[in-house]
Amino acid sequence: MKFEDIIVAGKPGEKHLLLGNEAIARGALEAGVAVCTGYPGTPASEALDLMVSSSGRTGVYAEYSMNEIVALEIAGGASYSGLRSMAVMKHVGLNVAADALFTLAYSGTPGGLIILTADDPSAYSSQNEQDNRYYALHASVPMLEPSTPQEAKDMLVAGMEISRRHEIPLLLRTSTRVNHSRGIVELGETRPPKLSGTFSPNVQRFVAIPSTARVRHPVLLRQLEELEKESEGSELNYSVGAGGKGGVITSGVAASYTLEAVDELGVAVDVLKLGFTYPLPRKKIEDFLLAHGKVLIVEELEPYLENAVKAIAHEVHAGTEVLGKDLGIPRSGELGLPFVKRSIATALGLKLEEPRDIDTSQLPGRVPLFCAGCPHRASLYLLKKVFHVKDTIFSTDIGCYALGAPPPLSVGDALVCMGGSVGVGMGMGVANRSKRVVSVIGDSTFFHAGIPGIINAVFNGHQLTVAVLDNGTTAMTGFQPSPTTGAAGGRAVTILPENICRASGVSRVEVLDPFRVREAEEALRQLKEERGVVAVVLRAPCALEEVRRKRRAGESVVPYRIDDERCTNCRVCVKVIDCPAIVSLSEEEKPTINRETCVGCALCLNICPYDAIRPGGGMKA
Amino acid sequence: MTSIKVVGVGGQGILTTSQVIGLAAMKAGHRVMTSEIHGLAQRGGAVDSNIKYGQVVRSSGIDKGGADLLLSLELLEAARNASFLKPRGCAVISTTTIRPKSINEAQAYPSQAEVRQILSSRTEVICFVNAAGEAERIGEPRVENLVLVGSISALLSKSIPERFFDGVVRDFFPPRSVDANLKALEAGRKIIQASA
Repeated sequence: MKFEDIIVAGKPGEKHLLLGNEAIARGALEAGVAVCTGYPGTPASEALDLMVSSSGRTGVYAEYSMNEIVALEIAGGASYSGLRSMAVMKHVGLNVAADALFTLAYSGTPGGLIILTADDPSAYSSQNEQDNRYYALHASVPMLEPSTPQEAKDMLVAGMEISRRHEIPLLLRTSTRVNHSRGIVELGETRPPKLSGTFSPNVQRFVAIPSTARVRHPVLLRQLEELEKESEGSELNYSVGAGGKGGVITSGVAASYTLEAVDELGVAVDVLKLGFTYPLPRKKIEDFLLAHGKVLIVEELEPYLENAVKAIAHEVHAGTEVLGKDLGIPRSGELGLPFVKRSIATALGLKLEEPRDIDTSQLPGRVPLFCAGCPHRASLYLLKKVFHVKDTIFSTDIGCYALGAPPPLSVGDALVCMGGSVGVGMGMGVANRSKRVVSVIGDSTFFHAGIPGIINAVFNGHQLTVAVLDNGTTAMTGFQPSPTTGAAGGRAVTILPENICRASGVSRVEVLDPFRVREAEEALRQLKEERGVVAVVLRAPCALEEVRRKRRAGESVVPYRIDDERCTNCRVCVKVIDCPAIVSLSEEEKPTINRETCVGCALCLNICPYDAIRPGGGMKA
Repeated sequence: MTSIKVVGVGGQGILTTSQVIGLAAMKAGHRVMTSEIHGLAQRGGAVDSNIKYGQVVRSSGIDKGGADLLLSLELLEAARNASFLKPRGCAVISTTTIRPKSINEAQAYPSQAEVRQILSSRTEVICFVNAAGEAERIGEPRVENLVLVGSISALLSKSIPERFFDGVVRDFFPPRSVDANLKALEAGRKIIQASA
């Protein structure tokens, strides 16, 4: 289905069933965004993907940046020069970009700058579930929070105008259920991107040194006062209801649940739905509090609204009972409709009839696994075999290869953040002198934040082995390009991790194909003899990409089979590598290879002690 | 409002399946919201998506006990998501089985009868569909999910006339795959008609 055509060529007034991220990309085109940068990360990725893939048609300058702070700096520089700019990232990405954010708030951004920050409550695809609304408060920048795909698009357009009017970066804060929900979106007019800007030098404003920072901070505080007035009068903050005694204040996806719960419960409750959530519309909240005896705050994750509303209630002596997290609205995990319904019912003293859960705890679980033919499986198998788990601490990183931390591969003792494998590995090395430390890092992650760690390791004389798992793509977030295989748009620029390691003074660097198992194992054994900072690049393309490439090129994929006569049911293939193509129905039966799933990587052939694995499970197209 | 929960295993094509249902509902004039999970969950893990349509749709969330219809692309996942089914709702379940790799000796992959038993505290309206068999008969294994969509389209025909599903296939699928997918929809409908 070609949603890109709708995003680029859809006419105003048309209605389409769009994913939140598709609506955001459309919103960027309607807001006249001329420069769009970002780093892929669930749940934000598709918005950036669409901006990059459509850039040839739209004329927007769009790029996959190497990390979020670079992305934000580029968007900031373009906005300094008057261009409508946007930076796209997931919630933890804003941690990386935070240094730029706080100073861009001081200088302001004359051309307009939207930062899409996509939170991941329940941490479906993340290392934490931080609530990025606090960044608006912390950096003193305005924030809009959409509840639906339509609002996400509309708020991007409205947000760009606010950002330009006040010359300040604006956070568009979404969460998974906004980015990854589809809803009917009515399109507006697109605005052709204006790509040529003019930078007017102004040392007092754009050069952040102590003397100017001291001047700009009060400027920012005055801007916040203006922004509060704007929030107060904004149509994005509105109340619905017919004057019930009870009220709910809510924002983001929680507002959708609230409106649905009020409908379903059929209760007379007023809802103050906030879309402009920093600065908050103080007077509107005050009036809402004074009009209601009891107010429930429904919000996902932290008590961001709750604390602010309680402070306002206290200051104006509203006498209103303000309820929230203490009433059972969880502070961790994704907020669902049931929590909201239950809380509203409890606040009103109603009893809810809920069907009993069916106990399914005895059913077999299903956890994500490396794909059949995944090079990470081969690489981690090799690392584990050569650097034994008991002698080695494996510090790992953000990417598909983190799936190798649980058994049976068990390669991954610590994982903190993007690029953290290298830094955490050095700390482990300092503290555990008798052990070897291997830092496992993917190619995209290496470029994102691994390089400073490697230079640090050499500079400060650490003992560290770095294993770069180079599959040539940013696989987990949707196969965005990596510098090892060339930039988007087919620009033939390749930058190789081994060259960067060598240039950084890493004493020995090996480049190996993890599927040439014996050869790679021997080379790793030699590397293991070395001290100091050494590196190995284990290079083989992502299996999903490779199978697609072969299909396009008309090459056949030859699956393997297990020779029943040679197989002794020793179960090494089942227990050691956990491949989804190897099927084992019970301990007593010999395993078989599913020819539909097997992509012929031949890793199992290399580990079978009885030479029972043979090519030719039959050819597949 | 009608709430449909689609469940299965990452990689089975759950996103496209829900998009087809959501688009058909939209073409039939309903408000629609769907939710999808992307990212890490795709790598062979259990995945689900919601589709809600009607005159007013506020959110894409579905409660336990809130799904009018449970569509499972895989046998075990139907049982795992039994709680979402509304009492006296309806379940359409593919007989396709994908054994989890993490299965241990103490756990067994459930049989069709066991899956029926787990769901029976919610509903007796359970339809098992040999979608892979139908797809094979059509000669295109990739239309398996559209067989299931055909089955649910027969159940939803009062709110979404069947032609809207056919329309989505014609408008959104690559031209060379349209015929096979239309045949799949028809095959899925026949299964429901035969069991009615």
